[in-house]
Amino acid sequence: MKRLAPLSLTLALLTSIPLSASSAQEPLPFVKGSQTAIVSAHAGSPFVLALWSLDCLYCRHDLAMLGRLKAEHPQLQVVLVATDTSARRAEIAPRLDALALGMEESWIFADAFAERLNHEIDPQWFGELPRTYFYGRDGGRISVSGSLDEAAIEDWIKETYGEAHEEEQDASGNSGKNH
Amino acid sequence: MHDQRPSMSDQRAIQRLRAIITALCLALFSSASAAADAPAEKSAAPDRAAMWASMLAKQRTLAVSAAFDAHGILWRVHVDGGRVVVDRSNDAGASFSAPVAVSNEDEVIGTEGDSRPKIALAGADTIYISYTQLREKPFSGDIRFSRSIDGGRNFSAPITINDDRNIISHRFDALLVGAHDEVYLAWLDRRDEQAAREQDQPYAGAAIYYAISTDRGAHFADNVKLADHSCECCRIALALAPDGVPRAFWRHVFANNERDHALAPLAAPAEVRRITHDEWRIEACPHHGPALAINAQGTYHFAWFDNGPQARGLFLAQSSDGGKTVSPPMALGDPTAKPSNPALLVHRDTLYAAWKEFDGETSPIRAIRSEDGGRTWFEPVTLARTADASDHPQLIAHGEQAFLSWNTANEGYRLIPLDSVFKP
Repeated sequence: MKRLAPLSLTLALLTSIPLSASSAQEPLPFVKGSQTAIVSAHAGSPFVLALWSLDCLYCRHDLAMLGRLKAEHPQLQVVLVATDTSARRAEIAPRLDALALGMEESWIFADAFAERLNHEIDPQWFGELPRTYFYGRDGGRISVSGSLDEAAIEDWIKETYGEAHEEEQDASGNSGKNH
Repeated sequence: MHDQRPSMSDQRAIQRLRAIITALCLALFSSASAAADAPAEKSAAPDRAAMWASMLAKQRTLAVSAAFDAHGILWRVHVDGGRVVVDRSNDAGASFSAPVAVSNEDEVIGTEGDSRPKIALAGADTIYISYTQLREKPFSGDIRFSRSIDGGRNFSAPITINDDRNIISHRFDALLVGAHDEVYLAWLDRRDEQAAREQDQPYAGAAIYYAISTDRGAHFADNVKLADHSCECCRIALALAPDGVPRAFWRHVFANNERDHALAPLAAPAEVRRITHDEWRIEACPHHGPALAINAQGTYHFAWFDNGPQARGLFLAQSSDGGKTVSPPMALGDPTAKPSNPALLVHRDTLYAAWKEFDGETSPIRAIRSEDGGRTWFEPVTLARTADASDHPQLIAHGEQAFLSWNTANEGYRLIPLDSVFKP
């Protein structure tokens, strides 16, 4: 029994770049170091990091909500990371497209050593899905396992994007940030 | 002598976290049910056939189940391409025969997370196989069964066991051979959720169904519902009790959406008993099912993962009265190393528990043993370790020996005698 992704496939994933702005984004390969790269790329600007998978029932509910919120609040930055194996890569973009998230930054796990990717994302996360992180302007993040509450996210969007001086506040008013 | 339940400061941290989570996720179960019929697959349709074909071609997985037969031959089932395949080893896993495909047709087979094909042996020449065939809609699947009655040379054409044939979720098969060669299959089934949804009624989670064959797998009796409201994506643990009736142990959705664990016999009337009280309230897929072992004296041993306010991590508990009363849970493993995917084995008079951890770079399989039915435990040991992807650990036994069965990307399949580590 061999490793999941042959080298050729991995290379193909690594070199793939989204070409067209008119169709759904093909997912980028999420490997060792990608978590740090995502956080660096978004440094200074708030974003939502949504971990999901094709077979996660509750994820579909959350992603549909994020798609609606994105339409209502175009300033909302969403980064999607699918924890599926890269064998299911072709299913990602159509699914996100159907949930009005086809144009958002999208990644898929591209290392079969999922334990290491999970650990890099969050040593406190046991892999349950959906798992969502709300990154503030200062890089602090709030983590949520399970279904999201739309009103609370609307509040977070207002507070985070609406008034810059409130950036220290998190969505719940609690000091539950972790890094 | 082992880790305690969470400390007071942990408890405060958990309470704080809980407050945040509660503030952010107050959605009721009905919203998730409504989401299940969102029109997601409509616009995803055009290239599905091509996607399916490419997925089949690439289906490589480390998911393996293994068992010994009465002669000490090790049998293994796994997935290669679109086929469930079976092979055997006469030399304790050092070498394997050419694999035999169970089916002549390609299928997409559930192998991710807690999904894997199962194998069970009976008598001299009989091999039973079950697996979940994923269907063409998201989350849908069927429970499939095949057998060999000629020592693994030929397998019967797989049959679908769930008698509900809607293309919805029938997944996470569990397979057990009874005391008189009955074949038990249990699984998670969403037919009741679908029926409720069609009536615009809420329905929490899935249901547990099972079917029994009394003619060595030639036919199965009608599907029986064991319980409503199981969690949707965690494996079911099955073990045979001294009364000859299998017991199922699974993550259940109790009142207030608490995803704790339940126990019930695969026989009517099936009284469902709540075994754990960790109060993990979450609308999520933990992908993290429990383990169950029952010894000859009828002591039940439970192992499970939870992330609730009352407990976070991996736990072990015992019951000597069939689950009516349960010992205080004991934490397993290093809480900073994500202990996960527990396995239990009662062999002779020894109880073994094994689980996987992750230390930041490598995944060790850790284990403990008890010689007095779980009252006291020897110090944990590391059975094996890998620095790349790996399957869940499984504990199996033959004759005097108990083994860790573990598939890894780097080192391949490993069968490690527990005595070599515990009693060097």
